[in-house]
Amino acid sequence: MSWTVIGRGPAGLLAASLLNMHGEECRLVAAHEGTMALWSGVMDRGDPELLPLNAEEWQTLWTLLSRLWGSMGIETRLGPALTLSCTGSLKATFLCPTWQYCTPDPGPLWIVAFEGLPDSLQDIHLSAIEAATGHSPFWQRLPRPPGWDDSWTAVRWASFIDQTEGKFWLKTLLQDLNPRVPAGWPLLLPQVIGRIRTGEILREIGRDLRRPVFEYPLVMPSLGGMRIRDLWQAWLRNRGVPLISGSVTEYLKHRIHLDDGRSWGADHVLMATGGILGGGIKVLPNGVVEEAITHRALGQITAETGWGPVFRWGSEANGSLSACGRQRSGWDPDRDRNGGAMILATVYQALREQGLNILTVPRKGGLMSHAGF
Amino acid sequence: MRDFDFEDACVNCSACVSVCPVYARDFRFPGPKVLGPEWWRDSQDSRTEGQTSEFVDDCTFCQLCEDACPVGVPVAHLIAEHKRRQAKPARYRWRDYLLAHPHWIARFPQITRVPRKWTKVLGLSTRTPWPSPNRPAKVTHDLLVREKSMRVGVYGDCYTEAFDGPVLDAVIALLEAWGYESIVMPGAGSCCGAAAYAAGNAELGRRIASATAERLRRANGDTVDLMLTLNATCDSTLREEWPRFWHLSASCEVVPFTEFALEYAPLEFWHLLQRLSSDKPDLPYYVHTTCRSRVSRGTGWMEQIGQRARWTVKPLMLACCGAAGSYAFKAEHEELAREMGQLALDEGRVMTDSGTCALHLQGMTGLKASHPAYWLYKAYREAQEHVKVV
Amino acid sequence: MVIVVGAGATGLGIAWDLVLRGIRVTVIEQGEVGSGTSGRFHGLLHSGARYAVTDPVAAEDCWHENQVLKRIAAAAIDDTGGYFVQTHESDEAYRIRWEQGMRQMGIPYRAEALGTLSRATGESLAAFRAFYVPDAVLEGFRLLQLLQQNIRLLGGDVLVHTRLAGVNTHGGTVRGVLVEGPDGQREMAADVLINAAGPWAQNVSALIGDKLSLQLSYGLMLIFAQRRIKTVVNRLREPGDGDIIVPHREVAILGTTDIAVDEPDAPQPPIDDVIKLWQLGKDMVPGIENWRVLRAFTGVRPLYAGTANTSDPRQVSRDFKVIDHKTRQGPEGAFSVVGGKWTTFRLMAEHCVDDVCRYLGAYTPCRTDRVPLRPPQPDLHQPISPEPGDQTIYCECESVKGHQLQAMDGSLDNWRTGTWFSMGPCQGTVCAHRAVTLYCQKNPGEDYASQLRHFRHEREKGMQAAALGINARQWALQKAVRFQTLGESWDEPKGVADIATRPEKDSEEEYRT
Repeated sequence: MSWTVIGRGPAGLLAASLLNMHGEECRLVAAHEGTMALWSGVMDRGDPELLPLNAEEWQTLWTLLSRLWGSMGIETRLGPALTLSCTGSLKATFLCPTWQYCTPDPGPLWIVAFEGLPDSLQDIHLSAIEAATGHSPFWQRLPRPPGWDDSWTAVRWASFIDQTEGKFWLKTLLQDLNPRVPAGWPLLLPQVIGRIRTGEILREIGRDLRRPVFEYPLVMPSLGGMRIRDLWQAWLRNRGVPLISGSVTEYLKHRIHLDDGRSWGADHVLMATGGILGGGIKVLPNGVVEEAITHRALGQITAETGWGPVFRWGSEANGSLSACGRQRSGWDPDRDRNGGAMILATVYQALREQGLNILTVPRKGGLMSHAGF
Repeated sequence: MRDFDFEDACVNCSACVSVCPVYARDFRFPGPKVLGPEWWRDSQDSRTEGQTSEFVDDCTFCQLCEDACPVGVPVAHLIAEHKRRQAKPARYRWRDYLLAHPHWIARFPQITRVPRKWTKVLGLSTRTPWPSPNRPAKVTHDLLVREKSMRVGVYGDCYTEAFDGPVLDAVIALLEAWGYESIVMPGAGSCCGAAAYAAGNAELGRRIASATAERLRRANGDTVDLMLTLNATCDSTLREEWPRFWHLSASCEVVPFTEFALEYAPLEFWHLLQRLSSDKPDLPYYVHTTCRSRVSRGTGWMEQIGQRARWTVKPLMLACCGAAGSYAFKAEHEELAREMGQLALDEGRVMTDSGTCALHLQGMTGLKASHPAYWLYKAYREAQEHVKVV
Repeated sequence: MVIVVGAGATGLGIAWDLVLRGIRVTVIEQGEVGSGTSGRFHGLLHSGARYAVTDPVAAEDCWHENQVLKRIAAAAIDDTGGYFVQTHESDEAYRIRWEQGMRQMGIPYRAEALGTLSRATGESLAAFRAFYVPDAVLEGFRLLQLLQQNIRLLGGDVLVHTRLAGVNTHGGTVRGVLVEGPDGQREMAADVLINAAGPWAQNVSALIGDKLSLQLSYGLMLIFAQRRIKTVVNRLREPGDGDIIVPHREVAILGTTDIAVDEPDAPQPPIDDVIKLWQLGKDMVPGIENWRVLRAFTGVRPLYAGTANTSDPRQVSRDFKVIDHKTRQGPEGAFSVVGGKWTTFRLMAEHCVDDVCRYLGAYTPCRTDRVPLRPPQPDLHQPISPEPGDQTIYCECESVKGHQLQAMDGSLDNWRTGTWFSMGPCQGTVCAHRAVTLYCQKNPGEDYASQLRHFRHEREKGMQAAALGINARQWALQKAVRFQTLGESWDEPKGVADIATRPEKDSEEEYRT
């Protein structure tokens, strides 16, 4: 059996990883980088009642992903919890990298903003946090570091803090403030604490200040997603999964065709092409909405349809081709805040449709052990 | 009348910024979004027309930004246009002109033996290692008439012909061993135009490329079934820039050597390598897929070669090593290029699909770095020896 | 004291004319400056060529004013020139009449060789013949800003968010007005009341006690993300739908349609009409289908048919009219200005103020055609700060920095039109929450969540009507950022139909051109 996964976002990477873990021959092809850098790495939970999964599947899938990431060096916290956005709102997660603040029961916090990093959580967002948690945070803004200029986005901040000079700048300022904050309050920093040495720096600051230290996510480019993306792609390359760059134009008679003439056979294809956001669904200038690869028309936008349903249009199973992630019809993670659960559930579902149940097919010794852990 | 598609599509997602190897290290570099689509949009407005960034030439033209872009903005090519419109310092004019013609240097490779301190005045790096002349042992431009299953052309790019002869030798020997008829394409010793394009001289690049295309067409036309490339930059320039921006054709299908090997090397070949590998667990092969190859073909091909041969393979997490053709040879890029290629590796070998990247990584790591063809052939020879002994 | 109702081009033009003639004036405006029709047009400074066949009076006025404005308001005009492009041989009869008209009116034009046309315009056009005309681009919002600043320098007043609630007459003569502003109702003494309320003129005239009947129609315009054309391009035929493209700052605008409406509020653009208009644009610019559309907006024309009776808005003259209400059944001292074009706003003001002067019995000649509108001089007593303020870039598309936002006053909408934040390709995806944060830091009473929600909702109107092609993905990205990254509260996006049929009550927002 040969498989091709189209799309390099979280759903595509997950599908390819699961196939690889099951010893299936799999190619991953994508026209562009996917949405990893738009997203902090937290897996949104939404309402599990609405998902087509039973409790055991739910728990097992989350554990599987947690272990998969663990094998790449990404530590996670597993279980229902809340995370904080950079404008002070809370959202529900089930799996979150440990660099990010995540807790079932948010208590008092020490929140730091960086001047010159416009997505830092600001004083005016504190009332939202207080309303949600019942605790008033201690908030402080650190002045711009020497050498800062207007070309600094989150990525540059992270490069800066990865360096000794940047880490020292941050540590010095925090040590001065530390005595003013009650003991035990966790410190939350903007998600720019390094791109490579994140865990190490957070632990070091935590030791210095004798308190837990986490990041809160910012708007894209998102360091959390970038870290996961780089590690995940390396993991797949390491295990012999080719990450092909190219634009799929057709899947016909069990062959994938790219726009540059390359083509290969694929018994099964998973479309993880991201729906409208990823370009897997196109809204043409004449209002026709179609699947980008099969060109199947999904509908037409008119004054009558409105936009609400269009964002839930998508694909399902069609012979040897199944859709997952945002490409899957019926999902709207913007409305339902269940982007993470959606990825897990749809990849599981799509693989099952194509004849592979990743939870029940034991291979080389049982449920998890074959998975390379 | 426009050269670009989707140049106005930017959705401001910053995916390009997230992959840019220069932005991650050079704190003055404004990044691909600012230098590409945002600059392009401003350049059309009469109020900001003609403004350019002094940092635009720090772009290595690795094209990772363009590969990342979810909406197809030709980010790197907009930056190349930006470079074209940025006035170049007069003191680098001769150097840049020379480096835009790597095939000239390749014709007189001894030029690289000029003492370093002399080249300083030209604005050439004193620290980036220069290649040494190293021509292939036998280069044949004659079609060998033999019964073979496929005629394979080899695009012997200027760098490989002048400085990386053993790689070309290895390719020819491997093709021979695999049972294919091979021919080194005349005309390949000229340049695909990539160097000039990357340095912001698209027009010169097009002229150089046109001449090469013409020589390829005249010499071979359709006498070969496909043409192998040994350098990712030449490869993607021939397949992407040529048709897309210069309306040129390479006259036959162009395939990177790596993918050809995976597809067409016979099973016995791999079996031979596997026996050797399993007998003698070897040093790791650190794999660096060059940025250009990653953009136009993807990653994982060299890893597959290693895995098929049962080698220990370790992919490097470098986006762009900093060599970027002639980029690292320029004095003003020396430091950044060294930073980008900074690696601490244990003993092993480096496998990468570009001669200049190999040279640069060899300098940075102290490990022997070369093209997969070189390593395959080396292993093949050792395996043959081994078999004989046994 | 003269009270002018409406701070659009007409109202501010009148106020400028009045202060130059030494007459005290206060302008009252129900929304923001230019929030009506003056902020909702394609940005074309007519040369008159468009009306050379169909409307000679308007054509002549346009050509005259075109020259005047290029002289007095150069800071707000991008003198790109324009082309009239004949796309089909079948329009030959019109072309001959057009050339005759142009010669009669004395509007300069010249034939352009087709070989050089695409270089001149920056885009391939479907052209059979082409003619150069002295069209230009009028930065409407910039000009309104200049007018406002110059009016204030000469002692005039502009009160925003203030609406006319009543008119006091005594013995059949206007004596004062009742206005309703942010601080409640108050009376103001007035010798003259001028109704320059554009499409709202019929509502204002009703308060005067002499209701006018306007023939309102709205035009639909599409904004493209980049300035992919260098000059104005018009189609050489009877004025119709989708036959003007105007490069405007960093974008290009395709206009327009002409659809009769009853209400003066600009309607939500219907997506079906957006698709149709975009397709029409292809007749002139075949490549336009590959341009990235950014948003759509509408503007309501306050056309005045007078006694003419026609149901087709295109047949109604673009000429203007000054109405002295005392000549009808209204009081003395009340005037209305209706009809006209942005291009002719100064001339409308001149005619109106001439009448007002005669009424007031103190005629001084008009000087608006000679006195240039200058940006106010920087205050020399203000020390130049060595620290230029927050250099952080908040809006990446339009490069708006923190200190530029912090220097703004007034509503968030004013911040937007004053700095242009959120007006670029990402339409505020990345900067809206940042700007709203700064706004709330500067205005501690404001609630962050509701300010942001209101702002998003207003921007969304124009965006979702044009969420086609790449722009659909921009919208999807914006929603993902809003709801998944920032955790903004969800409200089900309204159906397009839902919005299209509902008259917009809060029409403060639109792309201010």
